[in-house]
Amino acid sequence: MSTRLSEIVVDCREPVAMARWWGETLGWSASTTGLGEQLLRPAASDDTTPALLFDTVPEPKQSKNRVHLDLASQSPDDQRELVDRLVARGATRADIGQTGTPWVVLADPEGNEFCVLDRATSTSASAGSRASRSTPPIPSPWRPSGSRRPAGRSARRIPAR
Amino acid sequence: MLFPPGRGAPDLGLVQVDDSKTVKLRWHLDVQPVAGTSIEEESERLRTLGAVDIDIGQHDDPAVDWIVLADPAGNEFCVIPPL
Repeated sequence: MSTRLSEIVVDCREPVAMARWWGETLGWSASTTGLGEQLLRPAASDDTTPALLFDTVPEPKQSKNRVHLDLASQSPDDQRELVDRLVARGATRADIGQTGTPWVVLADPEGNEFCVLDRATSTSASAGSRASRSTPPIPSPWRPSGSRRPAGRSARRIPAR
Repeated sequence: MLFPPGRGAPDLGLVQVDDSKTVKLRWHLDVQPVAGTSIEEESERLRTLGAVDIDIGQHDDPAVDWIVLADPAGNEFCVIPPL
């Protein structure tokens, strides 16, 4: 028995703006949940990728995020073009101590760090890591087959204090 | 790295860092039991794997119908009702 990763929940100040920005970035569609959050879903044909759910919290971002996204690209050239497009749309380059890494660290309009990889998949890229990332990946299924898409009613968030 | 079965879904990378967790996660995961399993049943299974119950104020919100747990590293996540 296992459980499925339904969504990644993002605390933010401006959920509508954040959902718009990430929706344009990923090509995903946004909707409003019954709790007033913004839900971004991948294409209907994608029944495996978790959704992104943006909710409102009063507190500002205080430190480097411990959970972040890695965005894929097809090549180093594609990576450069993607980074340029994201920066033109409001992303900023983030310096979190990375040097000489093949990935580029950016921050979204609310300062959330994310990485743009120089390849389609990664076993060696992440924001903020100074540790060696050369350990071979170990396949470990964490999602059962046959799971269904997340539903709009499944919007959940950790409430702010 | 954790790889989901099949193709297309993102991998989940676990990275060692020097800094400690000091504040509630700004990005967190929601997990959903498979159909036929309740959030209570799934949460109990996750507790046997090392998850712990945490109170971040969710009990003050009547709209909350999910369970908030933390993984062994203290990262908050929610177990949300199945479809």
